[in-house]
Amino acid sequence: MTKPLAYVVDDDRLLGEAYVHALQMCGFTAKHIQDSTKALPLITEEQPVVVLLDMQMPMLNGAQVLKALRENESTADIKVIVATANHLMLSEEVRAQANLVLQKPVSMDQIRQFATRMLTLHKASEAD
Amino acid sequence: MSDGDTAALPRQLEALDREQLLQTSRKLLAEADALSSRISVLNEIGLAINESLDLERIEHVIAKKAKWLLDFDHCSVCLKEDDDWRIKTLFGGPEPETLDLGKMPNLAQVIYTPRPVIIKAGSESTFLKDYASQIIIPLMAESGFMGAICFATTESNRYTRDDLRIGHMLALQLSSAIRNARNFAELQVTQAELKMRVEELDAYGHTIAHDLKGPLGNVKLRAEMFSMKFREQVPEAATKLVAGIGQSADQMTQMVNQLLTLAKLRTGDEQFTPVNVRKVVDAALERYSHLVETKGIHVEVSELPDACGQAQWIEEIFANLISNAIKYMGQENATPSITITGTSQPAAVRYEVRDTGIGIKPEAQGSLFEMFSRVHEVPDIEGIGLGLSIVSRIITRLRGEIGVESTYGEGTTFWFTLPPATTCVEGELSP
Repeated sequence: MTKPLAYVVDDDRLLGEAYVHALQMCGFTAKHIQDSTKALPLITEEQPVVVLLDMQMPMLNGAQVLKALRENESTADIKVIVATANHLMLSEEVRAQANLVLQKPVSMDQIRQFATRMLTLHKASEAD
Repeated sequence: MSDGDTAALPRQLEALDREQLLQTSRKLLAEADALSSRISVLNEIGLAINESLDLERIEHVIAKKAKWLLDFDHCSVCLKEDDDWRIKTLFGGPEPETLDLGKMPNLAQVIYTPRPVIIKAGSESTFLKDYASQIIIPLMAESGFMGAICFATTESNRYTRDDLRIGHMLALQLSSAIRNARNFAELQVTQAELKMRVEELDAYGHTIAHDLKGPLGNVKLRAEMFSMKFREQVPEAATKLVAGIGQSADQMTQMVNQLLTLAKLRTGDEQFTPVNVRKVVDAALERYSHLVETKGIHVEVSELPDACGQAQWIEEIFANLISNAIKYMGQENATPSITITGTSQPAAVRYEVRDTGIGIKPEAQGSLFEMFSRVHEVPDIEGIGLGLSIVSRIITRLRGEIGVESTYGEGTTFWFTLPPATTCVEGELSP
């Protein structure tokens, strides 16, 4: 069975790489997108199981990426995990649209926890 | 002169005196009457100009109403602004030229003495050369000389000492109105500056949080990955060293979070709405679900009444109290548990977060809600003692109260109250 695909959208190169490593350790094929303006076409094309999304990014921020994902029919159901530096700044809209909100810094435990959940869901959907 | 004549004289004199007396009395009465009506006009003007905090509005009132007090064809005000002088014609002509005291000897005299002057037949002033009669009165504040007001008319010998007195009384009222308007304007500038600074500070804080959290998260995650991936391959000492890096990153993260929350708490809007507290508690618990799971803590949440407040801040209260309960659960706790309950009281809703942790000594309970106080001598617990002071500040802001009950060695109960949801009317807290 091929490993499910996860995307990490974060403008911080080192942190993005660390997330990719962590997701790989948890059984995903993971890819990092540093330039958020490229996120939408790549995600639409490759249809990952889950997207780990940073909020504050230049050009196109996380809230805008999330909104676009939800408005696009082919990406509306992709699981999105939002990683925010300050959850007090998070809008109600983002809270409603995200599947999970994590306060930065995200720990390995948290990644493992949601990864396990996503993998179980993914296996169940593949079995259907 | 006959006897009859001599007898008639005192009577005549008497009649004359009486007539004069009557006339004098009438004249005095008329003067008093005029004076009293001038004073009541003066009061009216005083009230009108002191009602406003806007200098232009004050000048407008003077130009319009001072006519009831004094006859004039010209009225101007000269004010010192910082180190500059400004002269402005409020009524009649001419439009002011640039202020040149050399060409305005009377004004210069008022400015330098500073005493009022009364001019009866023409002045050397080029500005007011067409006006034979003038009264120029200084405007004073406690900080000193502020400027002068000038009334003028083309007719000579027009103004009396009484006019000067009335003008002086008007100047007193005007001075206090101008001083108030200036203080108010200054206050507004300061306030705007302060608001801008606070906004800058918040933006700065937010940037710092984001920028710090990136590298911090990276440090933490890589330390954790290292331990996970290479635990079997490296000596135990190496794993321990790396774990220390992760713990330090956690500690720093918490400090950043707390300072950020404090900054946010300082500003923020005051919109209060009914809050589904159960939902908020679930969100707060979700933040610590992994810790609760790994530490095997039993969590129980009873039915919770709704409150009036701000959801994000109530979540912050619960998150802090839950985090504290987890932190101070104790290493060898056989029955670690957290119970969250809520009750409706007549004027408030009360919530409790109860734990079976290590408890707090009675002597430490008093300073618990002060900034930077850490009462536990528990090693390896991150934090700089801001958590409970934040909680306490949030609760005060939400118009509630907080307290603690604890038995050392048995556990701690934090309780707090909030206004009930019914006190929220269309997003506003009713008085």
